Amino acid sequence: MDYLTKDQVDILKHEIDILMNSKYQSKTNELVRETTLQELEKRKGDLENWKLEIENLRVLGLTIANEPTRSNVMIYGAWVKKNIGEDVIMDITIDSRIVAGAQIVWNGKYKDYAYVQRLLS
Amino acid sequence: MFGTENIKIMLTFKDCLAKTGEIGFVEELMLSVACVSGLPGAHLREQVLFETGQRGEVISLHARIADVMVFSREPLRVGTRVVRVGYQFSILAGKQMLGRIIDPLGEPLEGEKDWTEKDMEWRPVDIRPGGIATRKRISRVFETGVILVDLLIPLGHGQRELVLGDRKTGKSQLLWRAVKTQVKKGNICIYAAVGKKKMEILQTWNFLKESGAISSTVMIASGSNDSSGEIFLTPYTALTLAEYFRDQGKDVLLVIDDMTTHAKYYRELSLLSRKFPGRDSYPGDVFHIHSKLLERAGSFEKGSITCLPLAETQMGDMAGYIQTNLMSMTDGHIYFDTSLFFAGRRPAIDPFLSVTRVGRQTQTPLQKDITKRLLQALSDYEKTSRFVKFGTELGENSRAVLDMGEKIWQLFDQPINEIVPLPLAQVLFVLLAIGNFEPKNTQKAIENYDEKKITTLLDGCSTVDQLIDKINKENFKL
Repeated sequence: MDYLTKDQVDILKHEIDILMNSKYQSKTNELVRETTLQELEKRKGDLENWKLEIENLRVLGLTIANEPTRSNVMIYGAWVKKNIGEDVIMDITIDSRIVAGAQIVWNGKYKDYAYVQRLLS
Repeated sequence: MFGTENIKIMLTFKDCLAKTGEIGFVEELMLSVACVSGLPGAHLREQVLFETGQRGEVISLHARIADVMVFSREPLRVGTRVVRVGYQFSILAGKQMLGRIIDPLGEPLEGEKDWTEKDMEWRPVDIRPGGIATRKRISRVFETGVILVDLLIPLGHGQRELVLGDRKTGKSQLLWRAVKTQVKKGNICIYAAVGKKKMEILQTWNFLKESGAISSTVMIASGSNDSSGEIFLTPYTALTLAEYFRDQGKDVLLVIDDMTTHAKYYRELSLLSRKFPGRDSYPGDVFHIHSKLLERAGSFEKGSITCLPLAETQMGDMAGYIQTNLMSMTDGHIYFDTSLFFAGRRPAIDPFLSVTRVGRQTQTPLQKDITKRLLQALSDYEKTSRFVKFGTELGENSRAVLDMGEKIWQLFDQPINEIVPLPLAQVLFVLLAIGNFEPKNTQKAIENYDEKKITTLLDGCSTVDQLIDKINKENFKL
């Protein structure tokens, strides 16, 4: 199962917007344009629903020290889906100043588990 | 009231984050208003801190967003992190600020910041006004040094008197003189310039410096290029400082120049934060904002705050929304008339359209008698002047009335730097009435003013007739 982060979801939302807005700007020939328009018209409801779903996704802010690998993201994502909810995506920020550990933002609450705090205290 | 507990130190972004455990992010920016997501525990009017160092205040709370008024001209970025501070916006207040010009955040606008938190107090800028138990009847007369005001529209310490008039009719000059007079009497003055042009701020600042009034004055200034948040904050900071000095047992004069500008900036902030517009697009709570602010002035057990807020009118229209609001929440108003200004009268105050609601209760019987007779003489003068326009030939009495009226108006004509002490003003009027004084000699009378001599003359006189008798008996001359 693939897991999308906030950055990827934003790209997806942007692409849906392009698709929904481009139907009147097609430079292809008349036949292709007509077919595309018909197809888009059929899918219009789906596209709007997807966009709404994306907008309603909840975001978990996560700041970590290093760029995570794809498999790391999958592991974090699976944990988030299982323990917090299916509709939660992660907004991952990289900040090497925290050395290790993580800073988490969830529903406006902030938790600092950065290793740099331990080093300083 | 939330966030008005004693504050000891100014917290940093990290301290606030550790203290509240909450974070928010700037989602949208509209000039001085930032929409911030997160901060689930934010309170209305709570101070927030941006990671870039700017400060702000929560002005409205929605389901997922808090609108924050930003106190900075530095632009913010979408995505900037925000933390709650846990208390209201507060400033340092102390005697060290006397003689300085500061911005609404309490930072000096001229010279180095030579004060520290030691011996100073952190005070929240928006507190609940003192209750009735802390109030005292207004009983002491407040001198402005302007004969017309002191004799015809008397004020008392702790009174809130609106100064109303068109642009460039001499409103500020009246206030400058009031400041100078009060400083001479050993009182403290707070001058708040709200969203003024830099040149106007400089003019006031120079007057205060040149007149020597600066030693007991703090000027709080926000220019029209400052952020709307800072401009909105200006009278709050001024009142906070006034309250600090009042609590030290001082009588404070607070000038707010001007409230109509304040209302305009509050309208801007409200519209930006999507509050529903009401009359003239002002938000529905503009009355409450101003009345709550002015309610902090008054006569208190510890000291007094005499507040002289200014309001600008358009084409002499006193019936504007903000103007009438302010009239209803103050203890009277002094009205500056453009036509009188262009007729050459200085100050261009219309005594018949001006009102003082509590000032008369501070007057001595002699002062009351003088006010009564002056108003009678001026009223007769106005009536007779209107009669003269018909080209009627005048009798002896009418000519005397006109002559007296002219002289009274000449006496009222005061150059900007002229301050006339109240006892002298009373004596001058009586001498004028009996024909022993010419208004052109006012300057000389001020120079030769002997407080002891005048006070001895006024002692024991409770009517103008008694004073005239005493003057004749003692053959009194200035």
